[in-house]
Amino acid sequence: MNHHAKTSAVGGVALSLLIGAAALARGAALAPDPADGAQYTIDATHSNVLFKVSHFRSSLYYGRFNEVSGEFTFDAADPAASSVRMVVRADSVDAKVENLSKHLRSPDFLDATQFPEIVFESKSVEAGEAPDTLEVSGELTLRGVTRPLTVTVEKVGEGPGMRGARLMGWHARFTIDRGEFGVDYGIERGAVGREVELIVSVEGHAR
Amino acid sequence: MSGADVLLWGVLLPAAVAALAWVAGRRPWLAERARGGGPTVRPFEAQAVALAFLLGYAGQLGLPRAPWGEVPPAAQDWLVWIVLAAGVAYALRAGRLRPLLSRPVLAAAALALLTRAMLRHHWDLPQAIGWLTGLWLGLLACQACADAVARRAPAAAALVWVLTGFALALCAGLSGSAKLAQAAAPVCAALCTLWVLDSRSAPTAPAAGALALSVLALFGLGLIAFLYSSLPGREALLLGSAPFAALGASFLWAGEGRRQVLVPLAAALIPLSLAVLSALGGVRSDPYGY
Repeated sequence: MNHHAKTSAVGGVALSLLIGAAALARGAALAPDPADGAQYTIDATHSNVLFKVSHFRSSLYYGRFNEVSGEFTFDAADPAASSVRMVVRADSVDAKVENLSKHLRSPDFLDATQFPEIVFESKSVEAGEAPDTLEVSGELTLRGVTRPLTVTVEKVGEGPGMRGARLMGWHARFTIDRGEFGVDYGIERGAVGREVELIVSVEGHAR
Repeated sequence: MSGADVLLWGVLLPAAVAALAWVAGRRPWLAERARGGGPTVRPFEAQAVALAFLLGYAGQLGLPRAPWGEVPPAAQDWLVWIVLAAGVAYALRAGRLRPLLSRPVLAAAALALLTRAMLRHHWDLPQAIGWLTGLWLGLLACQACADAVARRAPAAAALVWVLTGFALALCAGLSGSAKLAQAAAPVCAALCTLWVLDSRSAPTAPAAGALALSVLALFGLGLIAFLYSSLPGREALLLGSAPFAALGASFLWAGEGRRQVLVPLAAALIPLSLAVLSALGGVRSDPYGY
């Protein structure tokens, strides 16, 4: 009886070890490798979208959007297989002063209640001229208007995060003509510049 | 857009267009009436308001996005098309299409289009039913109120809505949208013009169609300012209550001549002043000042 129980216990331990090893092997196979087109979810906490616009042609005003989401895929071996979709909540615009933020959310500017999302979706990606850069071409939809946009993005880095998840960060600076998107308030008088520089810094967590 | 441009496109040109439409429409209408036919209503006055609104909006804010265009129209774009369509509808109301073009039907269609974004992005079904029912009843009540003021105090009927529109423009502008404020100006200018022209020929109120259309335009702008900008509900209710205050006053202190005008206007001014004071209170020291 004892012998039988001992044999069963040994068998159970062996089975557990086998299952554990298989799981580890499977996990290692699934662990994201930047070279194989890993998918990343944009981390809302550590991603930032800032904007810079001239005020009465005399100063530069900075603001930001507080809610960012989306996902991207990066394939170092084949950049063309990379992609990104990023969504910014228009009503999360934050100009530091609440009255100004309200104005930016109103139909004069972003019309955030009627057009709640600002979306960039890539259509093609190719390797950039500089190392660790990509040329991302896609469509930006703002206030219901969709326009083509090409952005150079620079890889900031990658590595394990606080809880072991693989992180990857990208950074981009580009300028849009807000008039093309129907956001034309204050352009004529020069109160608020036509050109808006966007500074986008994204951190992704591998899925 | 400079202040002079706003005055030109928001007030002077819409007033001129309303006057032209009034003159152009009135002559054939009078001739038809003299022959013993033609409608008793004056549909050209509704069209005068519609044309003035279209011109004032397009001149100040650009052509509204077309429903058939690539880019979806926003509520403010829809409002221009709705008012224009309603202007045409009032001309057709004497015909067979009357049941289809009745005020309740037009109001329901207008509200469905103006609240599209809320229906799509923000409201669930019970909220949508509640809001749409309340807004529909509110719009119809405002139009009925305009009719009642026109009967009780004809000379004051247009001015009550001109004052309401002016206060709406102030509140919308102070609460965050200068564009909506600018859009209210042509309606006020057109109504004022009709008031002057109608008073010259006979001491009468603008045609019911013109009043109903102006109410639709101002109600729509107020609704857009409330739903899509930052017009506080308290101010929206105060603005909406002004015509009812005018109506109540015309019942309590009925009079002739100047009193018939002043009493309803004074009553309307009470909630309107409170709304504007509330809006002024909401604007603290403003570091961006434009």
